[in-house]
Amino acid sequence: MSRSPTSPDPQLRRLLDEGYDATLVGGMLVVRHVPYVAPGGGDVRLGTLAVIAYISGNVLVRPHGHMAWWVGQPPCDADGHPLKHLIAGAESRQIMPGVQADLQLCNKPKGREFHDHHEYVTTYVAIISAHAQRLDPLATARVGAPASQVCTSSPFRYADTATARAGTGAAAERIAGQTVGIVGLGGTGSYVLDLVAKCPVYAIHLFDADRFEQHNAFRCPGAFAIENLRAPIAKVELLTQVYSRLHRRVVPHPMRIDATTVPMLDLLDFVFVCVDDGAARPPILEHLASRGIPYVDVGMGLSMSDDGVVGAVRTTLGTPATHDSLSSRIPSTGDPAGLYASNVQIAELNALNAALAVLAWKRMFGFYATGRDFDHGIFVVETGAMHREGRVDRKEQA
Amino acid sequence: MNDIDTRDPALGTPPPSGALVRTSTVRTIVVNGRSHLFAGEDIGPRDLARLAFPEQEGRSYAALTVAYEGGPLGAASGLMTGSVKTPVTEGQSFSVSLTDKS
Repeated sequence: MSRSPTSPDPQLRRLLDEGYDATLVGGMLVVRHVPYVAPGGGDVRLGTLAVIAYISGNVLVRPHGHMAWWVGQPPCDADGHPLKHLIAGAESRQIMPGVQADLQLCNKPKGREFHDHHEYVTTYVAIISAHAQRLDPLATARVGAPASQVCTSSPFRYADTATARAGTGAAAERIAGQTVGIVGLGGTGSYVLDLVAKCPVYAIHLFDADRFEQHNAFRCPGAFAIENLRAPIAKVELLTQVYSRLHRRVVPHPMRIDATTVPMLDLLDFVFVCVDDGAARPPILEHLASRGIPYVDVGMGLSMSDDGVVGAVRTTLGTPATHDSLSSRIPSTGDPAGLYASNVQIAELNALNAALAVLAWKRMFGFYATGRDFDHGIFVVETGAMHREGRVDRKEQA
Repeated sequence: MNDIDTRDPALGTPPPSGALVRTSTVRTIVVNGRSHLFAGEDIGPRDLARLAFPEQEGRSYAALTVAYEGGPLGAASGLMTGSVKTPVTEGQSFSVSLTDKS
């Protein structure tokens, strides 16, 4: 019998039943109220321990690591000397939203890893608390569990253990909670969705009026079943079905965004514009700029030469402050008859364009460090060169 | 295959068909993977669009994406828009496209 998605994991349940204040949050198993001896001796305080939650199928499985993170002063023995055999060093990993660890700890059973997360956690707690109990025999981490032990505010249907493992939670917080829109769910837009659905944004709104057709299956991430192609269904509906397995709030809007419908974007924090028609861009981009909503506009221009496909992939980040200066970089007149180039699109270039767009969005919000001002990037297929340009470059050209 | 650009940038009109203007050095440049002979010391988006899309003579070249590399010292690589021109060197490559598909 499968476990209810909202019921605690059996190993977490065991910790809770034993009175530990344990929580599964953001791919970490966190235990609060762990008594320890603070440096200097004689002072018993409470710290927080966190270990990576090794999860498969939404169930804690056998850990294959043994590190832990600690929020508090360095845990000491009863004489106030830091537990040097336990403390691996300082590390500011975010263990849960708004909570940074102070130290990394290391303890490994001789010749093996921990059998399960219960042993993993209780071993660390015992090592740390034993010294506190020499000073205060009533000191214990088994304080009785709070009412809720599973974080339900996550936008994901199951824990994001990848972020926890990578230790990038603090960076992910910078994009968390945003409401993001994707206008156009063709090749590039569908890859944007594939990447954004794995980010802790609050909601993802999808806008596209087209039906999902067979050729779309060869330009989208993943592999669709033939049944998906037989039943007429809007792209946004099918993609919502797929990505709602991972993200709780994917919202389909089977409609075209144009001058009359563009106010649909007004409540978004950020918009990925992945449309095919140059003429469709100005009403969308101008509206976003007027509403103070930043965007990334993407596009590629490919054609066949005697030696193979040539062309360029463009990624342009616009803000209200830069929108006007970017207008000459973004196609706006359209090429409805395909006069400049045929409609060549290749999945890996759609994926690359999407990845560059998501990089630009994350860089804007500080997920990625940036040492240079650039908001307009061009990848040239036949040479592999990446060209970039920012506000300073444009001022110098003017 | 090489195309010969027979246009004299100083005059702005094409000379008689088949003639090669010798007022400037003729260099081989590569536009969208195809070699062309170009007579002139510098080149801009409009010239490049004409080489890349000769059948589109007279159309607006607004918002074409133009990138170059392998240029002379000081202008080795970059992006071009509007009326900006860049000096040309032998073998220089250019990418010219309308980056509107997604």
